[in-house]
Amino acid sequence: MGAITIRDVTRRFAGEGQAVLALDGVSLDIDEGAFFTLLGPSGCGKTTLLRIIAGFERPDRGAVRLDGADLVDLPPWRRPVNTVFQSYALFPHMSVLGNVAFGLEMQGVAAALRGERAREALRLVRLEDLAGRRPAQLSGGQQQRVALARALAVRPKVLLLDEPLSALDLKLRKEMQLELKRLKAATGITFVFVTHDQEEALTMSDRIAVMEGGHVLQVGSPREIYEEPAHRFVAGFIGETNFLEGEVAGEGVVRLKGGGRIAAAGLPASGSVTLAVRPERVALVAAEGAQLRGRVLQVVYIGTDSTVMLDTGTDEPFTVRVQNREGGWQPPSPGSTVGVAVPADAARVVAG
Amino acid sequence: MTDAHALVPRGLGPVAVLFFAFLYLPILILLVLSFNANEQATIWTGFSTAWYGRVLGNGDILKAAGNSLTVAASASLMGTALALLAALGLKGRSSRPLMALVSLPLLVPEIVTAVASLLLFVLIGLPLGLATVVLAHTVFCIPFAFLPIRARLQGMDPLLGDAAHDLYATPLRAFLRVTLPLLWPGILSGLMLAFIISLDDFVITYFVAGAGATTLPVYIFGMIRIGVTPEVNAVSAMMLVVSIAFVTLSWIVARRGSA
Repeated sequence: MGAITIRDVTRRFAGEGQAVLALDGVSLDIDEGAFFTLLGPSGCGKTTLLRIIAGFERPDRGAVRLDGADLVDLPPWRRPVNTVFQSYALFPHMSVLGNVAFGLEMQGVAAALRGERAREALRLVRLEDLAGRRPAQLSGGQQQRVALARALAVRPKVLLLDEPLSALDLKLRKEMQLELKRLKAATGITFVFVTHDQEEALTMSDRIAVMEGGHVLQVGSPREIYEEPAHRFVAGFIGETNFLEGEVAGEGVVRLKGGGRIAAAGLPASGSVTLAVRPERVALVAAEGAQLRGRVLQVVYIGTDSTVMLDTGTDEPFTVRVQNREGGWQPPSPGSTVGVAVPADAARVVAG
Repeated sequence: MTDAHALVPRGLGPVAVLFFAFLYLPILILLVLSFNANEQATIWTGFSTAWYGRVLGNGDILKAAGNSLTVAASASLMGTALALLAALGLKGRSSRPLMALVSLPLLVPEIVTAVASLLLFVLIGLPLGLATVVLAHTVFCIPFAFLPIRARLQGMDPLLGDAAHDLYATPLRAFLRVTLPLLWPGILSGLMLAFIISLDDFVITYFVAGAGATTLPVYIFGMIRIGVTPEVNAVSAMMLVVSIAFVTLSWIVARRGSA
């Protein structure tokens, strides 16, 4: 219950002068009971995709299926799918209880049972004491929880969450992240979560689809997305990454544009490649005999780590992240030349 | 705050007193003289509520007042209903040309509208009477009712409709349970404003009212032609009180809704 299949969904919007392609042939499989995140910058099409699943938008082309049944021709009020909106969209003229009971009332649940189930949903988000208040009398975090209770009270097969945490301050956001994970575990409902915050996506999701320009670039577990980015955009959008351009120069070796040769896995037989290297996967070593050498530009202390920025002969500085351990390490002085050790499994070939 | 003050020349405080005097002195004099015991409206001799009694005992005045209320109630209800439908139908349309088109009738000289209305009724052969007054009033009630409803609708979060649909409300139920309750203050405010404007209209009514369709302002005009009596003052004062009551109510409703 709650598996979503999206096939070749395309949606154009009339823009100024020319049409904007919000979604360009998107296909996705969302497993039942998953915490699935659509991650991407604003304008990547993630919210449009969510609104198509909810039924607020109609795709120009393509199929959306829930447990095998086609949804495209069903209006939103007939889909067993509910949404938590970014701005919460609570009904200002109704009490908290009235808001939470609204969906049950529309479903035709008898009044007595309705009150009971609405209170149960409020209990789930720990707001039962505020049932009589108006939304305007609640804090942002409380309104957020009412919106969650309202969507969960009707027991949807799929819960859609449109950047629900973006309006909250950092502390509250961390709290709500845990709260959402707890609710997900308690209800077993499929969660489809939209965010532009990569850290949020990594912490909360079972699977992540990274979107850009109306395309899904990569789908995978948080670990796969972070450690095995298939696309230059994915590697750059999630976490910090160094990009190195070069030519394949023999079996498993790349001759870098800025000078130096490093080993990398999964290389094509020949041609130019882009390698993505995470700053925390490489180490500073002595300059003599190193695969890659650079002149130290800057060392920045950031608490748990220090970042060392190097000029390796390319346009962008190359960043190395070193953990600050007890006893310390002697940071290299700016202007000196250091070597960088890049393990073969740390350099990944990315497309784009 | 101090910056704004610095932009204004000093010493203009007393002018504000003059400003309010200009605004309210005539009305104040009318109110005072309506309690004058003297037959001569402008010569004060003592306090009396006799004129109010005379007004309430005058069958013609009561009939005219009845006509006024009938016209105002019918025209404001019909005008508001049309304005509501128009506002809903025009939701999401670009604002500026629309607002100009709706507000234009408010700027057209009333005498022009009056002549035009009369011309139209004569042209289509509609006999002048209470019905033509109601029709003509409905027309100018529409923009007054439209503006607060439109403002309310524009200020409404469009996601509320999505949220209602998402929670299994059909479009009709979403309208009845979410849109309409949220529009209600705008509708009431528009209705009351339209009611007052209709109640107090003279020019258009004078042109399109047939015999027997005399409204209170038209009747007062007729009384004045004979001479300003304290009775006229008393009727006017009563109209004033009704108007102020409605305007205040309309204002309170609009404010409560936006809170």
